[in-house]
Amino acid sequence: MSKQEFLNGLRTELQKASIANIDNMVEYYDEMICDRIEDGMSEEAAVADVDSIEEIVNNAMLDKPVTALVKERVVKSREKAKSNGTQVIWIILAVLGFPVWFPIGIAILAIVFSLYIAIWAVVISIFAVLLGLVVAGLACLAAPFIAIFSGGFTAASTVASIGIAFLLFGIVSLLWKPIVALAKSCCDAVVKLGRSIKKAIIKK
Amino acid sequence: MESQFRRGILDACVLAVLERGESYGYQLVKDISQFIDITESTLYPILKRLEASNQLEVFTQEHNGRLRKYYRITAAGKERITQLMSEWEEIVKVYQFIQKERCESHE
Repeated sequence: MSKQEFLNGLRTELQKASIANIDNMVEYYDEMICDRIEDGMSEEAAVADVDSIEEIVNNAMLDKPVTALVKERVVKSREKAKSNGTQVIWIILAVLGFPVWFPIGIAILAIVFSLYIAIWAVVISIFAVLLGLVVAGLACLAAPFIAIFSGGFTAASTVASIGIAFLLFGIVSLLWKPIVALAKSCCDAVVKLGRSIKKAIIKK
Repeated sequence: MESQFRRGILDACVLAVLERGESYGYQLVKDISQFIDITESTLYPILKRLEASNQLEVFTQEHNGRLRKYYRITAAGKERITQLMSEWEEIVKVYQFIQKERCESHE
């Protein structure tokens, strides 16, 4: 395959997949092939040495948002059904199968959504616990001063109060690093979840 | 290799090569592929992501009668690589720990 044929094919496939910045990508692969030719390869060998068009499009698809990927899948399926002449059958099946596929669809969406919410809930709740400990520590520090004005001041309660405050601050400083690491892992899990959904949509 | 981990490593590889001096796409693939499997279609989104986060900047220069894109690391990119390196120190410690534990369990 010549360089021009490869680049034209790539442009067409990228357009079909509705990838953004196609000119930039084509320019990038043009440059990659030219550099290989300059390195001593023949034009055909250089084209064969770069990734296949399918691989390039798949990698570019992974950078697209899930909503755009789902939209494309729907459009593609409709076009396929139209060209096969099976559109009417699919419509009938969709209507008749509604009581089955609709609850299943809702259940899958709910599972994915609840996983997403659960991951973020873990992050928010652990930071809320830390914030609670800090606020409680500050309250314990302020308690002896309040006790002076309200008349309930005793040396023992002051020492206990300040002691508890330092204990709480200590717990927070000990928990800070592992909790930040846990929050990071949760963020990574969200990204991973998104990428696995994308991969599943692309592969189908 | 686990994909998130691999992405972090590839980001660091690109930044490390650029820290040595500006470079272009094919050269980056050649330099990095000696140590880890990378192709241009893997490199492209990395370059775009690093450019979008201002960790590298792109400029075009004429080369043998054609235009070639060059990539240069920014201050933010240098900062990122320092951060990644400190994270890796932790990973190396964990690796050494696992290796030690395995050696002891085999003995």
